[in-house]
Amino acid sequence: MNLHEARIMTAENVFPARDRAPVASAALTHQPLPASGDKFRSDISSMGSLADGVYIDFKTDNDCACGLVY
Amino acid sequence: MYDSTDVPSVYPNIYTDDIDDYLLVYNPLSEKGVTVLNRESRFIFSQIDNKRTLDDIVALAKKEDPKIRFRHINRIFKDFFSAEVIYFDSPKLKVKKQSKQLGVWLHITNQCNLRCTYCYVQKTNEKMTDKTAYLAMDKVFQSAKKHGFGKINFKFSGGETLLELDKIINLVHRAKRLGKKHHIQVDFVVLTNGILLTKKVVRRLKENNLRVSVSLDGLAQYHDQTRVFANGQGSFKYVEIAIENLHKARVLYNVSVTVSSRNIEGLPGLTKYLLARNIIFNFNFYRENPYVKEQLEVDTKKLIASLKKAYRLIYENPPPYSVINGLLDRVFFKKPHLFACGMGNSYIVVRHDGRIVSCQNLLTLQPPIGSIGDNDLVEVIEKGNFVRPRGLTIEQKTPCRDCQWKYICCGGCPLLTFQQKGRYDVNSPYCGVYKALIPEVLRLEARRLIKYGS
Repeated sequence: MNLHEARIMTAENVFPARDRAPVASAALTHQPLPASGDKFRSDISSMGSLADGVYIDFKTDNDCACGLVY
Repeated sequence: MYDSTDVPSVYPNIYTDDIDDYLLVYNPLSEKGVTVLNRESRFIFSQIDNKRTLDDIVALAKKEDPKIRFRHINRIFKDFFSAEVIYFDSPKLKVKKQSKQLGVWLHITNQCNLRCTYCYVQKTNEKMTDKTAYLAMDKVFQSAKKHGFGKINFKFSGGETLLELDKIINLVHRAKRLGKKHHIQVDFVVLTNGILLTKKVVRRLKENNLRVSVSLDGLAQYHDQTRVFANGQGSFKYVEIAIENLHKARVLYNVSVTVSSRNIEGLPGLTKYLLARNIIFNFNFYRENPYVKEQLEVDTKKLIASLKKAYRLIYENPPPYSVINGLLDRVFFKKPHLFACGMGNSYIVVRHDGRIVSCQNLLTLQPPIGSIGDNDLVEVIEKGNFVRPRGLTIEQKTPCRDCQWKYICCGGCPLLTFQQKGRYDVNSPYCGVYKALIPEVLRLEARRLIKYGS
């Protein structure tokens, strides 16, 4: 085993910060599913302000019901 | 850099699972989410026994790979530590008690253009007046500032909210002004059945940067069985057009799915539809209410089986964005918490008449606990907390306190638990479903990381 190849995957290191929040950006187009993380990142980058720090997750830490949140 | 004599320890209650050659590691006490270890890091991780020093681990690693050096091992331990799956000395993670975000549910109108069979709202022609709406908004900010909330999440609800779009937009402008004045962030979501999401309406939502949550319970007949007009006609075809309009206008939206015995069979089909369109979605289990005469709750076995089928579709082709927080009702993986919801702490529900209730499911079922005329709305909700004993956290629920998942499910909806079990200090009626499916949901997140991170 080549232990130099040891690595871990987390949302933080797979999806850089800028790309993690705008999860719904992908939902804004009728594009087919991205082939890779890089493609996804470029898709998001092209969406300008929507990708710029817009917090898209529809769940927050105090809501509930009707699909939104808890 | 760690010292060679440092002893790494794995957090207690850590959850692990095999995903092919990879190891899924999840710490329910951390906000870091799922971590996936490849074969090599998995080998190193497996050498941690909470007694061995880093030097001991390097010695064991050298047997496997003679070229490995302390600095290499150090690097991977830095990653483990940063992912919060291990600690040195003593565990540092603690669950925060109070949310810094205030949720505000504004019940704008009782009017609705649908007559969904499971709705908890008794439809009338009443709606929130401008005077009430503005006062509610002012009082919310006043109280949020007093109690140190840094953000307010407004949800416009009804009835059908888009019948009152002008009012909503006015309120949004007012909230933005107040937010600026009080240095409080604001966020808005409009809940809608989608019928009125014409191109024109969608354009206005976009202009005002409003997010939307559209209810969709299934494809075709699965939606049309419950979400109907007054004449009984189904509304699916209108919702489909609405989604198309939202897509084209690039409005941020999600789809909210209420899972009941009427649509459970159609859940996999709906999942496929949503994934193909990259639509964010939430599955929420139907909650009983006295206005519904038929049995809509799903049998546990059927619920688990059908959700597993839906999850399988996600596993086979995970989207690049995380979906796990919407897949299992009240289970929320984003951060550990002590309460299942903000009721009584960080959640204000304002009725159309300006009265305050503890939870929107109790809109007309609970005598109001206050009104927007009161001085401090957060104080009102704190006093109106119906859970007994007062301040009950998940750590005090007898069957939950030893559960690995307690900080992510928190015993589910307290109202539902009380309705079915007659007390609050016990586990959710959905406990078996949550326990059966939490590992499945975690696998979906691991699969996503492997797909996009490998």
